[in-house]
Amino acid sequence: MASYSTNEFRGGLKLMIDGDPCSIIENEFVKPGKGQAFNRVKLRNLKTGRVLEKTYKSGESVEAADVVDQDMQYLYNDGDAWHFMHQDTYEQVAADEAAVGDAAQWLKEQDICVVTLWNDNPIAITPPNHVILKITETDPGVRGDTASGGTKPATCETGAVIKVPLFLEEGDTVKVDTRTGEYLGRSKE
Amino acid sequence: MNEKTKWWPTAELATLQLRAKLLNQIRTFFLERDVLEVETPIFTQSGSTEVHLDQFVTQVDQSHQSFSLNTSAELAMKRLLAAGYGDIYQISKVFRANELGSRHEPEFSMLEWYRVGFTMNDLLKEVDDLLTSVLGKHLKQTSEVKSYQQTFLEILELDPLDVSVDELKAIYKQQKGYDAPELDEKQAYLGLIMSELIEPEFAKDRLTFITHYPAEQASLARINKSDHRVAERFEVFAGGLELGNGFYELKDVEEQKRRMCEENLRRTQLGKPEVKPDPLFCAALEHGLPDCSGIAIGIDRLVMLEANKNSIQDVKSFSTSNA
Repeated sequence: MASYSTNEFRGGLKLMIDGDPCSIIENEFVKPGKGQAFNRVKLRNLKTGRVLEKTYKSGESVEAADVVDQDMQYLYNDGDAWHFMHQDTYEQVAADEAAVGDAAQWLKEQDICVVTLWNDNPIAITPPNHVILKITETDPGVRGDTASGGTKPATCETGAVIKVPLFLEEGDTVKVDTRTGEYLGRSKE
Repeated sequence: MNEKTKWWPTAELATLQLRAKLLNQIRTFFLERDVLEVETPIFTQSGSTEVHLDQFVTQVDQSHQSFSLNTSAELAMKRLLAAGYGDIYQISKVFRANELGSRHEPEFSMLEWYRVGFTMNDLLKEVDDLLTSVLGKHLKQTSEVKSYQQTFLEILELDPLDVSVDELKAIYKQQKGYDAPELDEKQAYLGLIMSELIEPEFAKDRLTFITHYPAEQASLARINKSDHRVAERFEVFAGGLELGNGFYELKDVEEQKRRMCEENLRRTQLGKPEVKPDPLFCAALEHGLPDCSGIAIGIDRLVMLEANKNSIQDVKSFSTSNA
């Protein structure tokens, strides 16, 4: 089984911790002048998204997690699972609700997402940073009000509810930052 | 860092100016106190037996004799002391393999000095004088001096001189919320707890001196005469940043040899290369080391404090990444 020694630790390295794949966020080498060295590590559990800390004796080895981030195209949701396709090999994978999580509200068919595969199974989905979505439901627009700065909730075609300026109407398309849920502007697409 | 900009210094000019000023202040400090600046070899026939220091080993010619790059100038400086050269200080590069992080570089600068006739407390006072004079504007309060035992008792309600490995593991887990790593011995757990649970509690704008380390961590310090459980060793910290280790130096050659052999035994158990006790150092001790105290302080860390930098790479003209 592949493993990494603490001196190979760096941000982004994938390790198996208590049976779950984790990614190193921060690694700090600590050594008292006269004492034994160790590594203080901050990790993200890739299944739960939770951040955890661990301390290792320097030189210790930790099992590697077979985790890869793969760009894939989102195809459709069949009611149970979300299906993604590798664009070169046309290979498909199905991600369950645990893997998709909050990303579900941003998934639009044909968008390219990052699928995190652990032992070839999807465990996390990262939508594109920016998505173009159609508004399917919102209060009628306040014509001409482009300057007041007021906002109202709007439901998008993927289910996400975002805050948009008052002048927008159902059927308009908007650009949204999926990391913050923030409205970035109208889109001509 | 891409290939095109990789040649560029890792320290800003302003930082190197502060560094130069600090070195000047240190030299003036010792000049005024009549302490002689010396240079000893960086490249030595024997190395340090210290268990947790890894040295770079190389050869000077086709013969199979190996040389080590100094992990500190201690042994050569003690030979000068034994020869009667009196109070000495040195600013030199030292080398420690397998140490790389935001506070560690495998090549770094060290200030080391020895004062004849000084006890641990005399030296502690002088260290305080020097650091207060060079780092003065970063230190708002007077320095704190506390024993290792007292520090553990106050912060963790734990007596480090009378505690089991299980108790140490339990307090670590209780405070951190996860298990301590599996370490080799009790002193290693004390070291871990010192770094992880104690040092972060030290006041940020103050020097903290921790005195009387457990005898098992004596290194090259004498054992305390009235309490054999502790050594005449102290460490100085600025906030939680370790700056240096000071000793009331061990003179007893037999005791010294015994410690070096013990260290080698530990080295072998840990799968590290054996380091033969330095015969020239031992001969000097046999001739007789004067009563003295000495300390080594990391200069780069002083510059980090002075220049307000969080990583040691920011205070070296070039760091390991582009050396």
